[in-house]
Amino acid sequence: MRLRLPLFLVTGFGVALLLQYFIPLPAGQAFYSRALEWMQVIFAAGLLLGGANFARLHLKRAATRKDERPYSLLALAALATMLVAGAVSIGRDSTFLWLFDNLQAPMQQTVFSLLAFFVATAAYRGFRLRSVESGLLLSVALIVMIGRIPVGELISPVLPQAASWLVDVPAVAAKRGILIGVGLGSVAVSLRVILGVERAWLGGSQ
Amino acid sequence: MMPARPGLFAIVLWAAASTSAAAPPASVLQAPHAADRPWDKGGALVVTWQNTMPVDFTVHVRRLGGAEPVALGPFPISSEQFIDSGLTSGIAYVYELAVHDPDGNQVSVVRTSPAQPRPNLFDLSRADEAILIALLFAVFLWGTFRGSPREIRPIAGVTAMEEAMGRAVEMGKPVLFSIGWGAQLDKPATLAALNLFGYIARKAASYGARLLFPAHDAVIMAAAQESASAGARLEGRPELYREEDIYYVTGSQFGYAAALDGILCREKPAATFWIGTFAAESLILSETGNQVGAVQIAGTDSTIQLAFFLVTCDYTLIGEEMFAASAYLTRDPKAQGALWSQDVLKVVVATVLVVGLVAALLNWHAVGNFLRGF
Amino acid sequence: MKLPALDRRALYVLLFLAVALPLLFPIGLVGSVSKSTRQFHRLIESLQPGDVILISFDCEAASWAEIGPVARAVILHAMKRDLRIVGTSFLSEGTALGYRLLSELATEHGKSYGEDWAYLGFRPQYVAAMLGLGESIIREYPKDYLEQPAESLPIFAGVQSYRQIKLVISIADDSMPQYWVEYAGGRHGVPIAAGLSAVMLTTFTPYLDSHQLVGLVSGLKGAAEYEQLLGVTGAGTRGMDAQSSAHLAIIVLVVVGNAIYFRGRRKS
Repeated sequence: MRLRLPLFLVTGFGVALLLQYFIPLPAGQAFYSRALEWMQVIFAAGLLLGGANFARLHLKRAATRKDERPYSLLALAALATMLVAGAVSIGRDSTFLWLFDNLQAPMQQTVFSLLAFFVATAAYRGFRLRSVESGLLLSVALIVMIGRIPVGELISPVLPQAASWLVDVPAVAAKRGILIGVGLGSVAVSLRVILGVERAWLGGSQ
Repeated sequence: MMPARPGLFAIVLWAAASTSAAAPPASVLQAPHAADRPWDKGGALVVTWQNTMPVDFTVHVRRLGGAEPVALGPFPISSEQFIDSGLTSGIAYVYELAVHDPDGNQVSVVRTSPAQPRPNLFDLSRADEAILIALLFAVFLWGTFRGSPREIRPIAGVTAMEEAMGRAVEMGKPVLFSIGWGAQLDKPATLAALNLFGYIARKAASYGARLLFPAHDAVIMAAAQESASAGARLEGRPELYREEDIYYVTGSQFGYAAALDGILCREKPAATFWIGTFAAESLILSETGNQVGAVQIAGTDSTIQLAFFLVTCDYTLIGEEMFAASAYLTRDPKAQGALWSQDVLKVVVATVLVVGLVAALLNWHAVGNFLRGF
Repeated sequence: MKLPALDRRALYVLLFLAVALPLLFPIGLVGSVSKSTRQFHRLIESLQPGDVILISFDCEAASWAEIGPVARAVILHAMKRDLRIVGTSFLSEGTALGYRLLSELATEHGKSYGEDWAYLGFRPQYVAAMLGLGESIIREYPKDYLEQPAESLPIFAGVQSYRQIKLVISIADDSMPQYWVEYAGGRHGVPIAAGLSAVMLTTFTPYLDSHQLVGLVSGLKGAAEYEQLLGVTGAGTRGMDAQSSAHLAIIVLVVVGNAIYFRGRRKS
């Protein structure tokens, strides 16, 4: 029953929603709208589950691991602060928005900006002329990097055109090829889930 | 009673008869009719009539029944039908059809009986999609239950997974698995990644390695906990399952990246698995993993992040290799059969691409238009 | 793992200086405008004053430094054309960012809330919301971002669903435009355009080629090009100096790295 009920639900809903796309009757449309509403409810429940797990984990760590206690307490304080601030008000001029603008957003942007440094180290390490293929990679990278900035146009008008061509033609062609494979793989996995052959989402039991 | 001048009377009668034979009948449009357009998703009516007049006459239409009358047309009288779409299902519409002669004079007007557009059992405009999906499913089902006639070629990243696990056990360090911030349980790539996680979890239990799985989504976390617990049970070592090693971190992208970077720097795992759907956090994670000296195996359906993983990781599963990995590892005949179906379909797609390319080069418009119609 | 003959920290300092110095001492580098940016510009130009467009801020705070200038340039153009703008967001972080940008530009251009623009706020489960907008905007968003009944806003008097919306623009740093194309464009036929981060360009170029997207502007470069077409100098134009300098710094590092590599190979 523990396995059969979820499999039955997945197969039933999967087939029903697929057929609904082709059957435009009002009952089908109503069913689809209701299913979308349920998805929103499940998403909200997932947020609650995540928050509860986060709080439980850090309470346990604060209680048992001395070296991690300050960080866990800080995490719990941050969670509590945002919860309370959000419960009071989330509109304009609210504390919640102030905390988002002055703490969350700058922290996010700071971590994102690490990408610039990591790109530099990854490029320094990765773009080495070890073979024909790596030479090709290196030359394409150099052309695109120079061609995409105004300095490239100053050096030669061919560079921006070459960079655009490299981005628009071979790069996109390779992506399309990968996307076709990924698309087919996605259909295969989806079909295996609907048929009950794929059970990783149930906990890996076959 | 006889008329006083029968001859004159006869002439008047003849003139009247001739004039009325030349004049149009009282209702020139025969059988005006409005009906729901069949096999659609609603919102359209087909208005028809039978014509008996010269072809240079036109029909001016007024739609009645909505918020206000709407003028449509004019239509050539010989067309005998037009389709009115963009209507609201369930509302009754009446059409007033006015015939105009070539000089623009209205000759007659008739009305249809009320008709309501409504959705039908099948939307014919999606017939091509239905056929394509049915064909795809047929091929996949055939492959899935038939099995694969060939062995899957070795995939370097997949065969390296076990070596990476062994390295972690030798060094006494944990293994880190991340499914990517972009993962959601309804995405096929996430299901494929969870499948691989199940395999990794079972191997970790058999080797006695500690497996970390920080999650950005609580539902995925729950599925991963089930998977790891089941893996440990199947290996006969349920005590090795640690629920606190599979936990929710945050749903925020760079909060997740920062959390994982912290875990990488503190725990210094010997092996990291970046398998799933990643966004901009991919390079931050893999570069940090590189800095702590972990063996890194990555696989993602995101074509952008592949480039970053290729530069920073030891092994990368490209595109559908991630979907193939579970079939390769588990040796499940159904999964291998589905994989073989994918290969068959890829050959079909490649053939269509070549045909389309040749058609475009040789200006075979019919072929091009047919392919474009899909 | 230490990099051969060059400490990682030296790389970081070099890159930091390469980005920071041009921001402090602008150079004013200007490039030519790409075809896709021109196409987007023409698209907005083709709309009539009073037409309603929907802008969805499907981005995170982290990428706002890159995506924000794109959004600003596009909204500026739309307001100059007297288009009416309805804003929304399917990523929670983009909600406040989008509202702030729209209200700032609306104030500058004398646009009044409720008549010339409105902001519907955040919706989770974007698939449901995108499909719901095709049925009824009011039903999908009973209240706007300011907790007012959406029905009471004059902008929605003649706008019930996608049928009355001339264009949807997704300002995104990830795959959200793909869902707009699938669910809004594919099912309801509304034209979709995208303002993207630069890294997403190759992903969405096929959509532009196949006309599933009707316009595409990407990255700081795209923002700079758009500002050039509008005749303004904004964050995009200013950022191109820093981006150019950073690219050159990385190129120098790659060349130096290869030089060190070949020196090491010759020695061994």
